[in-house]
Amino acid sequence: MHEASIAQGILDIAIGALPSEDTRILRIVLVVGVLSNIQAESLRLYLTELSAGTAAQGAELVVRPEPARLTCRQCGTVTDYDGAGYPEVACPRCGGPHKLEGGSALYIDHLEVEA
Amino acid sequence: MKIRVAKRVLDGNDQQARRNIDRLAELKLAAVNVLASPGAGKTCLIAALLKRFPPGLSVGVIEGDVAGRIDTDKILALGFPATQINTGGGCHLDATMIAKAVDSLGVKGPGCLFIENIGNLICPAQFDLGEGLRVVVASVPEGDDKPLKYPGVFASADAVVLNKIDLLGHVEFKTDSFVAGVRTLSPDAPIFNVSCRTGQGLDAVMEWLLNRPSLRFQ
Repeated sequence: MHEASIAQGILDIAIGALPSEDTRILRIVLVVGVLSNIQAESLRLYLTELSAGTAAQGAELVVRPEPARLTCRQCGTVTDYDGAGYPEVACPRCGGPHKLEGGSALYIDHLEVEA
Repeated sequence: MKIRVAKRVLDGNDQQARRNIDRLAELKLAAVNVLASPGAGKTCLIAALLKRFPPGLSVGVIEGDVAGRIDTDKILALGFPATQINTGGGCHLDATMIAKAVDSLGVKGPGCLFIENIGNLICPAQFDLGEGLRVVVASVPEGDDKPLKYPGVFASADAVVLNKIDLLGHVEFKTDSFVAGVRTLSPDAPIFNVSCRTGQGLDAVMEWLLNRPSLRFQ
């Protein structure tokens, strides 16, 4: 359900950004934060369905994952959290408590269109 | 050819959320978005807080559910205004649904509007409703690992309410692990240990709520 509405949002923004109605979209480059709860494969499926007959038909979805950052609140060491497994609660260097930040991005960076 | 877009996918929702903020300010209503998994005790928490509101402040509830109006009827039976949103399978509330519900509810402030989101720890986190505060409810029988399993929603919390603490000792739950998880994701959010069944800890939630600068009740 969720990915369907996200896919429609992506299409609306992408098609709205085109300079003319007959421009065809080849690629949509999407930045997806690891905490944004978006499943790329499901998104691709809905995009394929929803883009039929539009300027984005057949366009490739390129997903650029954005990691979240785990910063140690004691020693300041920063490590990336890529969304796999649990975020570590303790710093690997000093054992201090972590703080998780970022990773919530969900935006279209750019389109590649037919010249 | 490359076309730079740099636009959030949820831009349409975000724009509506900003309009909701203006509309709620006009109505002098502070909105609290309540998120949790199904059965954590969102409705019980809201009901308990409604009963603790001081006289002179109005309250209202927007109930979000896939189907039915069970929770709305519970709130109405307590004598408080409530309106139901049914998403018909949708996994979250969005800002447009809230705009319509605020109109149909018809509550005017100064006061507080509770929005009970769909029971789901995933999608609702992504959708700004124009709320002033976001409260995430977890409950003891769900287990202490929920914050780290659903980091997105806990990272967005202004406060975390741990409900059903009367069940501590009866089910497996390590309070230290739960707290460490919440602290990693949302270091500044207060954690309230409550039992909506016994009433334990609820006054502290109410006191915190009434003292939020973002809730401009007057």
